[in-house]
Amino acid sequence: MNQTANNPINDLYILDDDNQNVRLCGFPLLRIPSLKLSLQILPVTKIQFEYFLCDQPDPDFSESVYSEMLSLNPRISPNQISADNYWKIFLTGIKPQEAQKFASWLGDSYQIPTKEEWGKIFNALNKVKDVEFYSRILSDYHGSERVKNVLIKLKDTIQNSLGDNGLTDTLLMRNGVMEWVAHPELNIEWGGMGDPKFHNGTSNPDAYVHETPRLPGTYRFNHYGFRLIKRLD
Amino acid sequence: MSIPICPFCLTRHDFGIPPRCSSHGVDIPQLFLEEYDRIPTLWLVTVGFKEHGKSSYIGALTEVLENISSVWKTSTCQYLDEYTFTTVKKIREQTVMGKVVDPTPTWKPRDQRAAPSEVVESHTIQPLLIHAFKIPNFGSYCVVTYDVAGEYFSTPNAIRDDGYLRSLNAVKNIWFFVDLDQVFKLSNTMNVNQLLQVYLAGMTRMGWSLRNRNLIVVYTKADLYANSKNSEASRHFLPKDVCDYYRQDPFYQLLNPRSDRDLRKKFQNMEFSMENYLSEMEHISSLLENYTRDEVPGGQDLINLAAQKQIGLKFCIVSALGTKPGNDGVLSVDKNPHRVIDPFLWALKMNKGLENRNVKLILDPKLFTSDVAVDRFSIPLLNEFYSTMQSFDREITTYFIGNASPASIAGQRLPNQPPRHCGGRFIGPILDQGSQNDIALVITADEITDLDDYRGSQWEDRMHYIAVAEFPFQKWKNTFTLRSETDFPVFVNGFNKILQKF
Repeated sequence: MNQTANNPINDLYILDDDNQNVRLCGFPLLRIPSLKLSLQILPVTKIQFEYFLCDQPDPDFSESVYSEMLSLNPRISPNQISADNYWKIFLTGIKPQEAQKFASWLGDSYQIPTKEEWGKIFNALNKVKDVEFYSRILSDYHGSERVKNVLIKLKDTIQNSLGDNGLTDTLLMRNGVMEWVAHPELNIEWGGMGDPKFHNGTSNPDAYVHETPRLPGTYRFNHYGFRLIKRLD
Repeated sequence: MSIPICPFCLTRHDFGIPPRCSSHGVDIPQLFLEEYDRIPTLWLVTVGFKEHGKSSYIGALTEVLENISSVWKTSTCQYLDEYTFTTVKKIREQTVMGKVVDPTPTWKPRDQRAAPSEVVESHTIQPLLIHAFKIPNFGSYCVVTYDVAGEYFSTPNAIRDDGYLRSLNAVKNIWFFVDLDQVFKLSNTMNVNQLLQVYLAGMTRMGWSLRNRNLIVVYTKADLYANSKNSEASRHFLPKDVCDYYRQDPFYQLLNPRSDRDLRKKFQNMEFSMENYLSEMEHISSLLENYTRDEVPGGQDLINLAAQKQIGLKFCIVSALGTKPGNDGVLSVDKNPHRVIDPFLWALKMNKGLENRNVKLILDPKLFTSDVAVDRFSIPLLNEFYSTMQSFDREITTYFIGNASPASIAGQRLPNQPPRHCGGRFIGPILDQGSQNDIALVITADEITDLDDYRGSQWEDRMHYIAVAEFPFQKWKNTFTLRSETDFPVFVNGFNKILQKF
């Protein structure tokens, strides 16, 4: 999985070397050299977060905290993924500070992207078409059978039911969940970017417009998840 | 890091400083322990009637391995302890003198035995410990070889529970030595099938699984049936292709290049393809299987019995000396070994197919609290079960639901309490780390959040779900409900059967 994806635009992105990192749980990381960063190809899933819970003793993440998150967006198994519910495989209801703890666990260089970074990624990938994206990843996949099953199910769902907006659809930056971004404005610590399919948000990534949730460190929002980036410099 | 299996008592234990096997009173080579996790172990045992060429073969093989860098440029070997060094040296001295190697030393002088068939006494098991580095296609291995005395296979009752028998269980690939010259003698009363029966009887008596074992039948003294003009031998001549294969051994004269400049050059320029060599070995094995069926007394029965017991069979020929010694046991010409590397390569090849099949024992932390009714389950019963499982030669790693770190690894005792932290009712982070050969046993007192993730996966057949409750909490293909302590023996028996097949 750590080899260069053999695609017609591989000067734009390749699979990241850190895909051997067991804490990524087999969910691939995509390197975009022009932006000097790598990003998780999907928002963080509940499966990934459960690895974190089982590895890191932390009183802030008791069973009841996770249950609270699940009550906002119930868990489904990979076998249940369909066009009607695929977002339930992703973790939402998490507060940004909690997401930061997860990022630190993954490694020093992992961060929640800034609004600027998220927007640049979105614009770089929005017009790129790559219908073989998942097929190529799956053809040489060495992760667990469970995560492979998630990728297969999402591939089928995305190909069959989503729009035609290129890689931003494929990577569910659109039609996924609202994703936490850092410093969307001066003096505002957290905001949301994305276009979640199951929730009407005020973010408009095409126009670089973020959403500003109310008291993000206090409340849990059922449509807010996150994906991480790894800065390369 | 796992606790190494002691090569002397074949159990896992603390070795201390300096490392020792206290039950056998012997030192453990430091190198063996240091490299245990880095260099995989290839366990080998010799099985064969007395004087069928087992020790001579081991002498020839070690000599070939010592000189193998002439052909495989980066390969080399190293003896790990004094015993291995002196044993190999002794064999070498005997062969330099042109003598046949002394039989494997027994542990009781023959003149003190009541009868040749007398049951063998317990004694300190002493394997040869060799690191073989960078074998093409296979990499490095720590080769642990038990040269079992032929007396062990005189009758089914001669095998009993001591160190040697334990080595038979630990080893999945067995070198089965058969001297064709002895087998074809009219006066011979034991055929090859009887040898297999002796082996199987010992294994069965100990309750050990026969599955996933491979017998590498090594026909020794093959020179007599590939070259000889002896009329008796010619009646059972090896197939022509096998004779040609015997003669065209690329390792022929490997032991001489140090003293011969031309030979040195020849070996330096030799191109060796392991793939081609292994594929030729495969072809020869099938020819020898036909030969065994048609010519060797008891051969058809051996093949049938192995098939019946689901034991893999491969055949090869060797000649450790390349010539027959005189009546005084002395060789009249220089030794000329042939195809000595083949049994070793078979063992490496077949060992690859027998990846470790380990058990993940996943326990619910709730089992250790008062949440579970005492009449359903008790920790002493679990300990008893754990001890039983350990006798199946599987590496058992214990986890707790919600904690991806092992609570105990192979060779350690069952933990007597759960860890302080368990992050939820998940088994995924534990199962996803496993290999495709592992088996999992989950003993739970409550629902498991991510069990459904594995429905339809390979774990469906390999994971056993034990619900300590009146009814199972969730549906799962392999489920057992432990309603009371009296159900425990039923469950243990059932699971032991699974482990035997597994």
